[in-house]
Amino acid sequence: MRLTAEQQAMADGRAGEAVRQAMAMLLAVGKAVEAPRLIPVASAHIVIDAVTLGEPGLKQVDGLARAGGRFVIPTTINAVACDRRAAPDRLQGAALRQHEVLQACIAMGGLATCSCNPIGQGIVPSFGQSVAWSESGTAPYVNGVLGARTNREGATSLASALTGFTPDYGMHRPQARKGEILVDLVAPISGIDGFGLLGLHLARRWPGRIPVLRGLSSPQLDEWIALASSFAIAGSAPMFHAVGLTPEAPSLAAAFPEGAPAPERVGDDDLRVERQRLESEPGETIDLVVLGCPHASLQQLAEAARLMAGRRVKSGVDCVLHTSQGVHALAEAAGHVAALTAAGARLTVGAMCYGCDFRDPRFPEGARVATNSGKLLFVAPGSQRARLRLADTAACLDAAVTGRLPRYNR
Amino acid sequence: MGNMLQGIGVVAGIAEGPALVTRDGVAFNLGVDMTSGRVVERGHELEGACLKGAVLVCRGGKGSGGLSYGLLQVVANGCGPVAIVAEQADALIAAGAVLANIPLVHRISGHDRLRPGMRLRIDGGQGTVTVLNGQGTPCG
Repeated sequence: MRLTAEQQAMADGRAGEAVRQAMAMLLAVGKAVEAPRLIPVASAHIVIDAVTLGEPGLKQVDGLARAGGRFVIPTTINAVACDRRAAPDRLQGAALRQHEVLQACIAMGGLATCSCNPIGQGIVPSFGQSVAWSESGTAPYVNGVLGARTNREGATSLASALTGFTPDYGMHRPQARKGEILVDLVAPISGIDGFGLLGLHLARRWPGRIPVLRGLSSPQLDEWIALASSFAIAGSAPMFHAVGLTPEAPSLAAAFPEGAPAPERVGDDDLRVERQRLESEPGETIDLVVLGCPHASLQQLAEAARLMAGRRVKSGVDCVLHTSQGVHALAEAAGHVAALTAAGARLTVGAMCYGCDFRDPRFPEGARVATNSGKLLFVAPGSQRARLRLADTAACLDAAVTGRLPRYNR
Repeated sequence: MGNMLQGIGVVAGIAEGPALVTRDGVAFNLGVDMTSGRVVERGHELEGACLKGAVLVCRGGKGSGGLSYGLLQVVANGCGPVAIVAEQADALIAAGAVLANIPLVHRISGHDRLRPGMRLRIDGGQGTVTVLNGQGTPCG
């Protein structure tokens, strides 16, 4: 890799030990992927999790902060499963370590957005901008829907935050962003659940490939987020296009500069099979309704509040909506929080989505869960003890009121 | 020297150990137990095998974006590999080897000739893998 004089000085330690360590990571990555140079990034988003870090990782991150490491670009932090309202002196175990990791990141200048959905909070990269975002579920949105550029990052996003650079490879290069599969959607896709299911299907059927979707009607924000996050959780491709909707696919020819391949088809039957593969609850009784994985936008909370007007969550049923601090504040101003709480629903703020991973908050043993999240449907059965069904937002909230989710085919 | 294979050094450092070989990638986050160094991913070629003290010969990384910190954690806990020989290193395993401070080489000519139990000496600065005399087993 060819470095500028400034970058070489940083690599040599002349900008401090934290920057030297960060540059060592970026130079190794650049060497591995044969990047010709380092390019500037406009922002970083860092998912950082005490369980994955362990004591060694915590020491390393803390060491960067103590060595004077400071983020040189706008950097948002999602320290997962961190309840920021809990008093630090009452935290223990993983929650305490998570708090410590978050404090180290704040000391380096990070903004504790604590959300898997920065987009919903209005943190939105611009078209053509290179960024380093490590939330894998956001990469297809950043690349596909916004036309900004990020690879699926890990510890490297921290290195980019400390230096302002990333190796020039993968999604930062236009030739890697071209469509690879043309997919005709012969059934209408609708709802957060429908878009999530589509994402899971695309990732499983064409692993690692960039699909170009034809026949999508203009999705809402949470539908785009559902498509991107479920597509990412089930696969490795960092991008999709939608003809006429996403900025790098104004036309079929733009998505396939070398000519479009013969189209593949995705229809109702494909999505029904995908649902049947993943749903693990055969019955209609529901104990737990989970919305907001990834964290609900203001729009989703407004819809839920409207659907619950004059109704009440059934006794014995838990109805949880996960959202972020930013969205929660706006929802409070709009009256949605009061409306949902009055209806007996529960909101969590900046917390890990219920059952979204292998740690707390865990589903109760044997819980029968209704959710509108394809991502949750995909991750929960493997690592949790619950049984899940997928349904649209309205049907999920009906289930919260009645305790039942009728079987239906769509 | 006939027993020296040339590749590309990604992370510098010198280490020796018995080879643990898989054609698969290794998911250092969630796929490896952090306190024993055993591979716990179901159905993995190395399921149940121990990484401790091994030169891990593999395709590269795979799985969660937490891989780099997983590699750091298992090595810092004293039960990780002493070096990695990848077919093709990816960003996460490269960053992880830097954090864990172990040598990483990839694209070795003759990667397929490396066999489990061979004693290997890795020079990440030179990008070389040397096959030494004798056999060994990790965790032994």
